[in-house]
Amino acid sequence: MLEGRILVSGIMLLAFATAVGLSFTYAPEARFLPLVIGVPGLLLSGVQFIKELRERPAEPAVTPEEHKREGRMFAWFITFVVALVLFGFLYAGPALVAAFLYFSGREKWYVAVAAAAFAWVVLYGVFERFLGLPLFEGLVFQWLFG
Amino acid sequence: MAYGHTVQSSKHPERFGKGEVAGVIGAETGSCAKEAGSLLPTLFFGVPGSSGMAIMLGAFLMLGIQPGPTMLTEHINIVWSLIWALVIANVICVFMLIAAGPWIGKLGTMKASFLIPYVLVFALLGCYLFGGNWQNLILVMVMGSLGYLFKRHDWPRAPFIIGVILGKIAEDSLQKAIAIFGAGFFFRPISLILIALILASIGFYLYRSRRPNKVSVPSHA
Repeated sequence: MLEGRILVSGIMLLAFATAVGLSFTYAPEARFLPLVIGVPGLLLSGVQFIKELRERPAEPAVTPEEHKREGRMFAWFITFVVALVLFGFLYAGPALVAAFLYFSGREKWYVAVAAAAFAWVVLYGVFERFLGLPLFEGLVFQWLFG
Repeated sequence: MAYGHTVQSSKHPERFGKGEVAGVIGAETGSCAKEAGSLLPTLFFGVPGSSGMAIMLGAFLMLGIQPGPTMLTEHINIVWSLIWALVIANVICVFMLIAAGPWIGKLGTMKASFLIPYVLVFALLGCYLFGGNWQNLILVMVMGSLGYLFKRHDWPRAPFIIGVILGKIAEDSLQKAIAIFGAGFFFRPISLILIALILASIGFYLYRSRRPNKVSVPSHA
């Protein structure tokens, strides 16, 4: 399995390589700063990447249980973002609060519903009505209702 | 340092480490006091002196305020406002927290599972409201995951913030310097000193990584 430290070094190497590559599409004056930062960054991240590849695999910093918990939290994080993008803050926000409390927090269903209602009151009452900030309605509702 | 001084100046140093509240008050007072010092590099160099100042730099960007030496000439009113805000906020906080301390303390006993969904929803809402683009949420997901990977594997995250804040100033200044001095800008004494310092810090890192047992410094941002 790909080690995290190698992955991070690889991401940095790729980011600097992309920045340097893209800078050649700019006008000569505009590409100067990206190259001043990008070329040393590319060299250093290359050295770091090689160093990480040559080093022995590190001892796992987290226990398997912590690793699982980490994975679960990442899954929730991605679920929150995807649900908010698809269904918007007013509908997905309270639903996510309830779902998280019920499934992950192991709270009673009525506690989860009350927490969701509170979230809706804050989102709608404070942000939309009181502050007058239009909340994102979600791609699905945009598609359905224009 | 603040904790050490509190222990030394206390009449009951034997109580420290066993729940003596003065230990917390001393350390936290030092922590609050350093914010004023953090304000200087944040305002005049665009380099955040603490994590709180990094957030404030983000707010500056949202408001179109560019930190740097021009803060002293063009935005001196903002500088004074921030200085007085720090002073007044600290004084107000003392009275507020004395009054509300017992209730605020109960937040510490609150289950994390209650806070997580609210924090996630409102943090994502804040990111959406900055510009009103739903694509910001995707950006948060990508950059948040990257930031977490960085934290897990001891890569510093502060340079990213410094890059975002200082990028424009650096580009403008470099173009001006090149226009005035040409390529010789890189061989001027100050440039050479800075280049030497950068090379020395890289050299020190490589030396340290080759001899991890002899010199070991944690690399947290």
